[in-house]
Amino acid sequence: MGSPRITRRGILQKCLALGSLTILSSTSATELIAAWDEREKLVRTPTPWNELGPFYKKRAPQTASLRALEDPGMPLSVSGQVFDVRGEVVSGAKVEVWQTDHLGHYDLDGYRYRATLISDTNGKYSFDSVMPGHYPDRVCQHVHYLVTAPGHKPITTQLYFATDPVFEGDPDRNYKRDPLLLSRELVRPVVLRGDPKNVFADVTFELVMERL
Amino acid sequence: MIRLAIALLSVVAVVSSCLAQAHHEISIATPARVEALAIARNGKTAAGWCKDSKVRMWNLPAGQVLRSFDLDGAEASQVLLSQDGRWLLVGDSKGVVHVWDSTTGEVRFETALRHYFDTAAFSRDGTMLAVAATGEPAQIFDLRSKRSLFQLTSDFSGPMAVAFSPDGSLIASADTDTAIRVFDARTGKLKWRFDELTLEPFSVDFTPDGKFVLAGGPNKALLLLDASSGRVVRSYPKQKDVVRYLEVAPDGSAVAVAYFNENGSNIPAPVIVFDIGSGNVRSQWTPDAPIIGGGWINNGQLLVATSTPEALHIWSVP
Repeated sequence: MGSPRITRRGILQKCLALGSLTILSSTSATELIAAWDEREKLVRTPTPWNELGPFYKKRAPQTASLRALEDPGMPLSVSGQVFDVRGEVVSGAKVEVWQTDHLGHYDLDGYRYRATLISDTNGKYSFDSVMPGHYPDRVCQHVHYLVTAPGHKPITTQLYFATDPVFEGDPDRNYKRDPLLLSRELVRPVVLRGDPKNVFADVTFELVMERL
Repeated sequence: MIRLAIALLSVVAVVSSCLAQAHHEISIATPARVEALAIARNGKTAAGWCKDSKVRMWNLPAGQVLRSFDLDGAEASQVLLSQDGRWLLVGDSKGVVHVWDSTTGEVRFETALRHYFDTAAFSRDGTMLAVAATGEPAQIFDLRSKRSLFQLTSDFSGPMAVAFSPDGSLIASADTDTAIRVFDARTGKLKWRFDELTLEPFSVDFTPDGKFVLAGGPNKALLLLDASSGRVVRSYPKQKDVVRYLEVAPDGSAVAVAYFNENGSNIPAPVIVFDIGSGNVRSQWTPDAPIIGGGWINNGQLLVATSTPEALHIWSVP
């Protein structure tokens, strides 16, 4: 039988007892240690890198509606929050997204399925689109992201979908079928909602920025 | 960038409505399909990455194998020869860049990049090398000392293509942040940036006199920029397809452009030669198999390579 796992909080309390941690505050030691522990739980790892493009196009319109009412394809809603690695929300981040239409075509002449989003005061962003299609030069369906914010390193990454037929239902095993997909973390689960006549796919994709 | 390299190398096409027909110059039997090919400017040697994970060098036009280099199972994403054909660069899918002395087979230089290899260029005299991993700034090396000199800056990500001016004093970069930049090749200091493109340029080259920079990409048009200021001198009419690669002729009178179809590299797309002065199309040819490389040679011929599983074919485009 193994020894019981010592919690981070327990270690800090032991440090306090042995003198390797000193507290200079009117707040109780228990409260401060709890705050330290909670702060560390918020720490997040940066969003994995994925290549930018090609077909990045700057000056995309600020709109959360990439999908027109009659657009064919599976309606898709993507939402998330932008954090820094300390777990603090990043408001005012510029989140540029672009993708193909449901048939795998990028719009190079205009701005269909391209948008610039700004994270709100809670770091939240969202957009409505369609599930991107496959195209011959690329294995997986994906949405491109470029995220920039003052004081933070830009994120270039891509969002993938666990329902992509390429993964055959098992992205853990099969995500490397796309040689450009380097991190399993970028493959997000899909939630279906609605009814058979009106079905939607929801995906959550959090973004974590490193500070400069 | 592997995907773009594949896109470049996969321009499948039909021969139709062409202004010219290419002349079949050379066929070389190969033990495995050649996926990417570089031809030295002197037209005497070619180097190709083969599907059996080897890079082979052939003499031209005889087609004899001069040397073979083993990639230890890695896939190459670009093969490049210096102007005189002496230095052979191979960037692989693991992010390792190898430079061999093609005359002796000895390793001249090696470096490991953060991500898979994207693009590279030699200076004309073969003493400097610009190399970039996908999404990373280009690093400039002095090949004599093997020292890293500096990096080329951009707002984010890295270049799609880099090129040295003929006298080695400038470096142009076609960057994924959509800018075209020109740097001082001695100091790395930015001399100018051109920001009018909304889509990233894919290819860039200098004219032989060093006075102009040509660039193109998904906006489907070529731009001629003043190399000293970045001012637009000429904008050529848009074509139907995306500019994937361009190279200026040795006499500076023409530019060859390899296109690919935005809907997929398996869709036919041509090679077009433009007169730089007038912007007129001199010739246009669409091969019947994927283009795997090519370029101008010193005698003014434009050579384009295709391959089958058993052979390498080199064509002369009029």
